[in-house]
This record gives sequence, structure tokens and C-alpha cells, in this order.
Amino acid sequence: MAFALRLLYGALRAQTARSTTVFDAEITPSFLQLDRIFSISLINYQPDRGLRGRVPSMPPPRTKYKRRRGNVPHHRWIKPELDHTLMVQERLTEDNAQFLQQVIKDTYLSPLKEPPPERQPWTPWTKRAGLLCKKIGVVPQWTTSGRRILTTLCQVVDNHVVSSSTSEEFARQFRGDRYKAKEKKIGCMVVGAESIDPTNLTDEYCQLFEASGVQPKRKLTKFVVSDSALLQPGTRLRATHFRVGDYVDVGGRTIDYGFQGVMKRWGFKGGPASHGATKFHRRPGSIGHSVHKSRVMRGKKMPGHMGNQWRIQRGLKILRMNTKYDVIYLRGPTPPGLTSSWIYLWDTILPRRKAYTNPPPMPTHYPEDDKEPQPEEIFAPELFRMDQPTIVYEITEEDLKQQRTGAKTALKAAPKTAAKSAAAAPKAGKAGGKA
Amino acid sequence: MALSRKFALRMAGVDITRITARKESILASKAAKTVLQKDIKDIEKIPPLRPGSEIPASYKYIYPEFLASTDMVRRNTLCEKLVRLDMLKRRTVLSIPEFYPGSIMAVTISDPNAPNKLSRFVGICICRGGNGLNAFIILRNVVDGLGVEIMYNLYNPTVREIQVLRLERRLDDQLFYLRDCAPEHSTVPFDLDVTPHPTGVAVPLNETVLKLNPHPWKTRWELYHFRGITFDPKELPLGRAKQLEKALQPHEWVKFDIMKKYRNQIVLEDQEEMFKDIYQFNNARLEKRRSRR
Repeated sequence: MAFALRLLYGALRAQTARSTTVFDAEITPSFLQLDRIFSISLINYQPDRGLRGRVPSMPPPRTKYKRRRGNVPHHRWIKPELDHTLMVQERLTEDNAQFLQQVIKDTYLSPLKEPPPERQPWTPWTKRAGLLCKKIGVVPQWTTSGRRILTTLCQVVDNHVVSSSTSEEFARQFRGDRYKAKEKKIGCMVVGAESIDPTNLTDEYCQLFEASGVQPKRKLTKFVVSDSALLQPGTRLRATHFRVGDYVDVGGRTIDYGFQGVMKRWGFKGGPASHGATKFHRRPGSIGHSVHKSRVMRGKKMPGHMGNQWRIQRGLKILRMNTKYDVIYLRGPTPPGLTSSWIYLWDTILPRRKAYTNPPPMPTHYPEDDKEPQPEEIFAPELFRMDQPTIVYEITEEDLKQQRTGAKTALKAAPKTAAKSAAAAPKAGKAGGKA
Repeated sequence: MALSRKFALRMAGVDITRITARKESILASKAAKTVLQKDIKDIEKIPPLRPGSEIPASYKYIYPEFLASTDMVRRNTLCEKLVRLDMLKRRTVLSIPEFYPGSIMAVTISDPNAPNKLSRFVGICICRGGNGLNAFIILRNVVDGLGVEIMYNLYNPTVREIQVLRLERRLDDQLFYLRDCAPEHSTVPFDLDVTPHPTGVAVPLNETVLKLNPHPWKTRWELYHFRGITFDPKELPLGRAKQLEKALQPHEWVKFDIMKKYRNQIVLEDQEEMFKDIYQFNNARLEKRRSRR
């Protein structure tokens, strides 16, 4: 059933990508057959949304026991890469390949077509754009007090604004205006990361970047942004969009563990290792009661797919920044995903960690605003820099007092040797005082 | 007791982790012998890492922490580069000498809980591991009849000094079996003087073979192919002698498994890239010294 549905979805999408007319000669027979077999109602079908579109009058789904993760993988509407059979690179001569690269370079030279928008002040309710980063590793750093902390390194891989739409345009993109975009004055921006060679891409995918003049990107995402923080298409977002000391929220997909048992997925205890346990070492045990409810309760923790879910870590501090390679050091090893997975950074929404008094650069950081060019490495004041001298703890007066009280307790504990230690104690005290 | 000691060491900036022993010795191997027998300071005489490169082959034994992890899934070249730059910056402040597991060392750290805010520990280096800023050593000594092992992060900024009191190698890369040997083999006096290693002399290989205490042992040392220990197989507990026979039989397929070999090492071209920074760093230092003279 699921397979047949997927076929149907795929066929419909391919059709809509090609043209707006739906009921073409090629697709109709199989379409009708499927309809007859599985009795799918076609009332909900709309040409630009496919079968997924809901009728607006339908009530929203229950959220309490919402499905954790869909079984059907998300299909892109536009396929980015060509089939291997259509790829041209291998068949080109060296001269031709070089010529193509030169053409690519010339076409994607600094593309700003529109003037930058007017600067507007930052308020606590403005939403700035985010960044699309790659997680590149987890590395220890030390504080100036000598404490070891782990940091996550994220690289901002040449991010560019591909398109931006104001609140009115954004509201038109969704039926029912679910963001209340017009009221809140919220627009959106599509940001792309990691430029790739367009020779192996499909025409449809390349057309997405034509309006802005940006080189085609491997990864695209949409950030919901206030009207006052919109940027013109083609602007580059760098790591300096945030500042060292700011707090950010980090979103991403967790590590995909596949189908897992109850011990790994939920941390159940399992069964005993020995004492006559037969085939009951990693099992969940009872899942319900035969008398009272006589059914399995909703949301019961059971084996199933683990990981590959959207998760957000809120309020992580930026401890360090490398402006040359656009690398951000976040506090903690917690951002989701493996190394080289994509993560999303944006200003935190936690009210206590927002920068009320020290507003961030609006709409993004422009290097021409700086009086001096920014240094290559920027550190938070509490972070130890590796070229600083070794940490040395100073001996305070409290330490000396503690030493003396220790000597006193030693006196009480050993009355026999009191005479000797009494003679030694004041000397030690004096010596300590001098030091 | 164990918990509190662990806690105290944590407070002092020292981490304790569990480490598994490697099966074959790298430092006592034939490849290491050809490189480390010669004078290390005379760089020109040492064979290169690979034909045509400037970097001497001895670097992978002297600076093992500059090599990245062999886990390809977690590797990233930019991250490694940034970490290496940090390590070199730290090396301008703290000199980390050449040493091998088996040498006797002294480490001084600044410790907020010690009376003089300083603590110095002397012992045998029984393990060296970790990549990048995670590099660590473990020192072992017997203090008042109690075995003490402390792990130090080499790039921890509270480390004030790392001294090598006696430079030598042993037959194995990890000497965790000292836990089950007589205490005199791992006892080092705290006031031990430095015996300087003369220039132009090879790093000596200490070929002492130790006898293990009678059972029970902390780990099943017999399964690990250590060269530096002896024991009587007849004294092994019931059933273990049979397992030992199995373990000692070499699998024939292992020598044909090229992918296993490939996965457990880093390609020489990558190694060259990793050692480039430290090589240039060392050269610059040498030139400075020469110009002073």
C-alpha cells in the first residue's frame, strides 16, 4: 500500500514539475487504477501542493501523541543532480573543462543586483536571519581558571541569501497564513550553503538561483525573518553575523541509529543475565494489563526507529570565533548529529539570554562598519588562549588561615607530641605570613 | 575511597579514563628500531617519512599526538588544522620533551587545593595516547605501598613543567601490567635526579622481562601478546590455558586483510600534512638558536 502510494506521489510530482496540467494522457490510466483499488479520494488534490494538502476546514491533528517521525522520506520537488548517464564532465577534453570552469567563474561574480535595505533598529521581538553550518568536530578548551570544557566547532560554509520575501509575499505562500505573517510583519529568506559545480545539476535546480545570481548551492533552507531584518538576495552571511559571547539556538537532525530495541532506545533495564533467564536478556517485559484496561496504553515505550529527528539545543554560548575560516566554537558537545552534518544557528529565544542591552548587528554584520578590521581569532574573556602563560594560582590569606587551623587540630589530636609541634607551629605560622 | 580520590584528581585538573591495551608494540618494532637507533638531533641522517619528503620518519614516534584519529567518520581536515595551530601555540609556552612509554618522568601542575598551589608527581610513563588537544600520559608510582596512577593532559594550561628524568623505551607500548608485578618495578623515589640523555646516542631499549604475581590478576594479560612479561601457563586458572592456546594461534587471513591494515593507519601523504606544521616550528627554533650563537 505504502509503496503504491509513493509511486502515485512520485508520478504526480513529476507531472507538476513538468507542467501545470495534471490529467495528461500518460499518467491517467495508472492514476485511475490506483484510485479504484485503494479508493483514494481526489478531492484534496491541488496542483501546486500535491496530495499532502489538507482542506482548510479540517481540524488540526491531535498533537499529544503525534507521530515522532514519518515513514515516507521527504522528496524534493526539484531534483538537484543529473543522472549519472547525463553527466558531462567525464566526456569533456581538458581545454573544454577549463573553459567551462572559466564561464562558471565569470557568471557568478559578486552578484548583488539590488541596493542594501535601509538599516532599522533591533528590538527584542525582531527575528534575524540564521546561519547554515557544518559540524566539524568536538574539541576540548580550557577556561582561565583551568577548567576543561568541550566545544563544538561549526563551519559557516559560504552562506548566501538566495531569495527574500516580505511579510505580504510570505503570507501569500501559505494558505490560511499560519505564521500570521502580515500581523507580525514576518517575512522569510532562503539561504544556501556550499557552492557546487553547476555543470552536473538539472536546469530546474539552476533556475532557482538565476534571479539572485548566486552560484548553485548544495544545501538550501528557509529562515523566518522579520521585515526589518530582511537582506537583499546575493549577500553573503559570515560567522561574524553573531558575536563572541552571544547565545544561540542550534537545530539539526540527530544521529540515525535505525531500528533499535528498548534498552538502547529508552534505557530500559532488560532482563537478568543468568539465573535461568531464557531469551529474556534485552526484552521490555510486560506492556499492559489484561484485566483493567485490557489494551496497550498510547505512547507506550517500545522498540522502533531511533534518531534522525529534528532537535533543538537552546542557549549555547559562542566562546570563540575564527574569522578567517568562518568557524564558530560553541560551548558543549551537545549540538545534534555526527561530524559533517548540517546544523542551523539562530539568535536564542530564551528571554534571559537575549542580548537586550547589547543589540546584535542589524540586519547582519557589514565589515565596512568596523573601525578596525576584525582579528583572525576572537575569544571570550573566560576562555584560555593557548599562547597565554601557564595558569598559576595565587596563595591567598584565607589559605594561610586554613593551614594554621589545620595545625591546631593536629595539636588536639596528638597531645603526646604537643610540646614538639607547639614549638613548630608558631614558626610555620610566621613563615606562612611572610610568604 | 576510590570515588573521593577520583574526585580530588578531577578537581586538580586530572582526568582518569579506562584504557585498553594494544596488541602489538609499535615503539619496539623493527621499523622503530631503524629510526630511533640513530641520533635524532641530526635530522639529515634519519630516513624520510616517505621518499621525497623533508619530514623525518622518527616524527611519528616522537609526536604521535599530531596524528589524527583513524576513525574516518569523525575526521575533518579543517578541524585538525585548527587544533594543530592551538597545540603549537601551547608548545611556545611549555616545552614538551621527547619521551616514550617506559621513561621515568616528573610532571608539575598548579593545583588550587595543594598547600603551595603546586603539585609534583614522579613516575613511570605507562601509557601515552589521545589525538590533538586530547593527548595525555599516565604516570605510575608506588607511594607508601599504594599504587598511584595519574593521568595528565599534555596541553592542559595548568601543567607547568614536564621533565624526563630517564629516557628509555620498553618492550611494550603500554605497561599496565605493572599493576600485577612486584611493587619495586614501579617504585620511583620522588627526589630522583635527572640523568641527561647524551646527544648522539640512540634511545636505549630496556629489555627487562618481568614476572607476574600469582593469580588473581587485574586483567587477562596472557591474551595480549605482551613481550615484557613472563608467566607459567600451567599456573593459569582452569580453562584459561585452552583459551590461551586459541588466542596464540595466528589467524591466517589477517595478513591478507589489506583493508583492516588500511583502516588502522593514516596514509603517509596525510601524515606528511599533519607533521608539516610541527616540522616548520622545530626548524624555526633551531635557526633561532643558531643565530644566537
